[in-house]
Amino acid sequence: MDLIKVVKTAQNGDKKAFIQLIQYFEKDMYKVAKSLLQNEADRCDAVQEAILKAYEGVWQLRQPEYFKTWLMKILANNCYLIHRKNSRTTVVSELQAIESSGNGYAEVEMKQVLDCLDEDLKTLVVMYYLHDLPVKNISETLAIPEGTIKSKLSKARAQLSEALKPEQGGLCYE
Amino acid sequence: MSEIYTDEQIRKLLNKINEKGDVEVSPQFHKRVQDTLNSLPQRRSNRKRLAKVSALVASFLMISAIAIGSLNPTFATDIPVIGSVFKHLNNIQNSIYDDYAVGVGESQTSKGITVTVNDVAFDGKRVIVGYIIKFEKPFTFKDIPDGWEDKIFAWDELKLTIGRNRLKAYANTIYGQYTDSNTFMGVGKYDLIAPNPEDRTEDVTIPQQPIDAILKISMISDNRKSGLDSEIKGKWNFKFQLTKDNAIADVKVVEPKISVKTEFGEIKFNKVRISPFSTDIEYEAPQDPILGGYEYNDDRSYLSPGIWVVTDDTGKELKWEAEYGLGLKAPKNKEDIIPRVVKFTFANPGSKYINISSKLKSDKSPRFEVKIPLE
Repeated sequence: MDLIKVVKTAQNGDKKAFIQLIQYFEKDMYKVAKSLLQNEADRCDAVQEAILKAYEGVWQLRQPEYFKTWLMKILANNCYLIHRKNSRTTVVSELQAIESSGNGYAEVEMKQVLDCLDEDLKTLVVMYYLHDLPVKNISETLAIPEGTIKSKLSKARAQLSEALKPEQGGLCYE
Repeated sequence: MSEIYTDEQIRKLLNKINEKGDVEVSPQFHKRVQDTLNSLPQRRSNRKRLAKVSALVASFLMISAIAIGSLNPTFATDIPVIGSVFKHLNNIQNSIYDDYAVGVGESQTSKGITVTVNDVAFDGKRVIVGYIIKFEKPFTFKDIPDGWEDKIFAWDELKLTIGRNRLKAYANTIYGQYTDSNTFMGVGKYDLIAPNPEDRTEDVTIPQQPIDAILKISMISDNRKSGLDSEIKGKWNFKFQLTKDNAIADVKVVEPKISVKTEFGEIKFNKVRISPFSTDIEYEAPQDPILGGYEYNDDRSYLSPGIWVVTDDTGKELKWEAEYGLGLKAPKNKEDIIPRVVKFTFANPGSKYINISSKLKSDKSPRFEVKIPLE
């Protein structure tokens, strides 16, 4: 699929083109939602809202090549909103989930790793490490200078190194 | 001190964790995606808004060529003498650009496409570039699908250095018209919006000496083709200079410091910049579907400047053109107040005020109305 062409067609009001884009990125959206939200129903709510917002706003996207970055950012924002709304109950369920996992590194989920990060770093990490999006794209989409992105990624790298280190107590994976 | 992993190590570890879970989309998630897609409404007002913007440059009349002298004699011989692109693309907005146009006349050819930066106009915040794009292979209008006759897409990047400030801007779409079987003539608008307040050009003194501009284009769309074939990747790089000309002298900036209360929070109108090219309104407000925000629902949509009715003191309606978020932080909550700037078409020179009102379709009276003095 020629993504840029399809994005441009969607921007010109073609509903089918927009549907094609969402279907193309469905798995990526699921990965983002799964990495940020524990509850499947919440993930569904987040993706529904994200699709509607993207449909409303796709014409505003100035650079069609950034569609994926932009879509993932909308979804990530929705996930955070839902996470905040549920924050009290989520904290309890997260604790239970982590406690019940014991030493089970196999049970470590992306969400737990990301929860080790400062909130402003989570989206960057998802975009940069999980979706391999270039710093330039992220910078344009988030309207944050490239230098700031790099500096935040450096901070995230340190926090992730701590979270992923193969030592007792860390959210290890090996 | 803990070992810091490299990007590759982190990527590998995170991907391992990610792949371990359900990489297959769950049926519940898939169903919700499908249900949402099936229930998508037809386009609403936002599409019309885009159509309005496109319409600014959609209907043109060709007029006879008027030669102007190029300020860059080195390249002047490279192009036919045809005069200002803005003059050719004759509508009111482009006529204004023509009043401030400076000839450049630099051409670059790559992959069978010759791009000429024919002229530029600059008001300190927006650079208008008049392009002539010549395709080696001729075509007929039948070759161009409906809806693609008035635009060419480009991957472009304009870089300016003003003092210590380095600014970047993109047009992405060049609006105009095909003028013969090989040629498209159009206008690219580059808004110099820096998210960092310190980099904003209002706060930067435009120097007397010319400002160096570097424009790089790496893709031009050939609308006769579809799919990847339509993207002609090449190298069209230009260097030209912007001068402190009349357009900048004719800019007026006021700081009204007026605010209006809405049910979702306060809208603060901080700065209005009236230039020959546009009317920029800098304001702070709770989120609406702006670039970077996307907190959208019908109730809040009247906060969106795209549906504001903005008029000058003659009653002329100023049309929405573009909007940008300002500030280094992306909004997280719909309650977050993010400064932003919205660009409307130009007000009549000498206007004493602009009036802004906004309402939803179902409203009988505006949700808010504010008069902003320009004196």
